Amino acid sequence: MNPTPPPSHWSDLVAAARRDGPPPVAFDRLLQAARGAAARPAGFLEEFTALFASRRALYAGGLATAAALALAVWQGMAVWDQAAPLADFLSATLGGLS
Amino acid sequence: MPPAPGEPSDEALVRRAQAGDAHALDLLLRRHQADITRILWRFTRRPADLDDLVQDVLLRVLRNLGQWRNDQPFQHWLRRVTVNVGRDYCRRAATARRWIQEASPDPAAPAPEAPEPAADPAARAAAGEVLSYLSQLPPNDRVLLTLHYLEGWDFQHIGDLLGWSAPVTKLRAFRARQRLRSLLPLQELS
Repeated sequence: MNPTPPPSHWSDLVAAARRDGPPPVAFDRLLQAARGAAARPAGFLEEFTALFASRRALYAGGLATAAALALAVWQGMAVWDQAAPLADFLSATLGGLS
Repeated sequence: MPPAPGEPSDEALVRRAQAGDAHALDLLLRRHQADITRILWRFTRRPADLDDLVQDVLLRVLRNLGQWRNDQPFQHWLRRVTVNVGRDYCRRAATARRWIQEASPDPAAPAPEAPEPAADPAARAAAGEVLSYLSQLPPNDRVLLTLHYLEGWDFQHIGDLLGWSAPVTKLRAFRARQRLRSLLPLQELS
């Protein structure tokens, strides 16, 4: 004999989940940083995002480390010689930190 | 969020922003920040990731605002950008999950999507549980069902934002719900 399934909880679960709102974000700071990033050389953010995303998997669960990594790379941009390939610079920086 | 009485419309602000008015752009983005943030929060439980995603939306808007044409509401265009950022995140998360599973994670490590304390703990717990189911789905299924169940959008609207035709969206929705149902063997989908 098949067991009697329990009553549906999905609708209740979704209704409760809809009430959950995001934590506050520092919107102005994010906007300011986005303006800064938009002003950087074309391709920077795409390169950074791709490389960082791949590295980030190595730091799953270590959010502080990942955030520190991002900050270090971002600060390292100040010393990037733009004649050098951006991907090489980012890869070396990430490699040195991991 | 619609403009308050007496405030300029989204479209008027976009035109000013396209002409180089930074203040108009700030006003426009602040007007929609709650919408952007709420949608992206449906895809992650990590505030740090939420920051990244919001910033990604802002960056895409800054870079692509010149492409907006007045043949669709700005909010629709912005939601399309936001949903695409969410979809890209789901794709990366699916890839990372495969790597982590293959790497035999440290059992002492904190959960990668540990929820934040919230004003409404029950809602946060429910959202975490819903996300735990949805995040097991392929990225497109996850986006489709997340927006349908948590934002309450109909499938046609979601398909439009994602650039899918109506028949394709209908088929994807059917299959996505089937997959979700298989994760909830003793429960029903409404």
